[in-house]
Amino acid sequence: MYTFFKSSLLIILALFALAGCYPKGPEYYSDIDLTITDYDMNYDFGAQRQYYMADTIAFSTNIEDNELDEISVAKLLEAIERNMEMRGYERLTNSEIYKADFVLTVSVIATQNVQAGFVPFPPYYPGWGWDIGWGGYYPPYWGGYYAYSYTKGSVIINWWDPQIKPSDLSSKKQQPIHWLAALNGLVSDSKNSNTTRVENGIDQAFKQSPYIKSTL
Amino acid sequence: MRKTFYIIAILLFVGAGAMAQGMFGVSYDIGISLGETANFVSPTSFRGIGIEGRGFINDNLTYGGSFNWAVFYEEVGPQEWELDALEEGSGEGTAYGKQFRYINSFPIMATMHYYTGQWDETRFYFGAGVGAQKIDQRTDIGLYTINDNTWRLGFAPEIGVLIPVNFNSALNISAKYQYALKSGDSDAVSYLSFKIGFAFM
Repeated sequence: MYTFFKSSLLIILALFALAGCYPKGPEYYSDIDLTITDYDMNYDFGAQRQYYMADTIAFSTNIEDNELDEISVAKLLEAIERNMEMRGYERLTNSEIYKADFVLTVSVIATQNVQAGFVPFPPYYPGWGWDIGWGGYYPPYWGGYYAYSYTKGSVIINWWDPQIKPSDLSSKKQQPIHWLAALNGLVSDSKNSNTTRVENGIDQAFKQSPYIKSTL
Repeated sequence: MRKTFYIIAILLFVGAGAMAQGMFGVSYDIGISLGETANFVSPTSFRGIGIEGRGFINDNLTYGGSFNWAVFYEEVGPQEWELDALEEGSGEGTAYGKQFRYINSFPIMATMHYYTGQWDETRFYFGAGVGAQKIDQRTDIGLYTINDNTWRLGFAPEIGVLIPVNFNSALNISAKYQYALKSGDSDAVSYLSFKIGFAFM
């Protein structure tokens, strides 16, 4: 029986060791940045040239102060305009909006998530570390209370055609989107870092969309 | 999870019962992914443990139960990934980011082994396990997770050697081929597991 207890002790030590070296996964905010693009294959991106993009963006959030302080909107719009210019498109001013071949709209969504709970025992089960590993407070290894919050942020760019009237739309009654870019990630405390990540994401969105190129 | 707990408890009970006339072992396992598993996660796993109990049928034959846990992990990218079009015919989506891939393999097997030689000398053995494998396969990309958790039928042929350390313990070194059958859309999971541990008589 003594041997059995000795063996059990070894198992417990081995489990502790394994739990301790479980792969951590993402370590930096940029590790979970995601850039998604999709486009309308029937749309002729080359036959367009002038576009309108407002100087403001739509912002939606569940955060109380309702202020977009986490990124620089001006730099975000500059990054889009710079990429569009490199692809041969011309941005119009407010007074020229009637000439636009297409419109780009930009929106930002920020969602704050708050969680609290209790971990009664060492978290052996795989996957545990991932779910609460973001900018939060880790409970001690022997268990305990924890609390953490994180904010998910998304920047969404839509490319659509202002010439289409509601009466021209299909039964879906939705404005057709010809190109969609969505940048998704976690919002950090650093405005500079967030802005740089968004700028990189915008550059990547264009890089993975080679079909966006004006031939006019 | 509860099902896993019951199966492990039964195996430990069987293993503990077999101890009076057999042996009980713990091991550190290294896993080398093979086939489709290597396509998903190629790096060697250095995160693995195993426990097992074996009871004697006669001097050369044992029956028993084993439980192992192997963790495979790979970080891929950042790079571009093709997505299915959000709406059929509407376009071809692309995602750019890092993928974090995990496989947790939990083979729970009934085993039988045959041994050469005598118990007071180095003994070579071969055998096999048949049973269930819980495979948790996960891909994290961005803030999204794709989970594929399934119970599979599995088997595991094994060859090894017991090297006596003292009168009631031995070094146990073996190589085991772990194979979990394909389940639905989930690929078969296979890896070569090298085990080093102790067996207590």
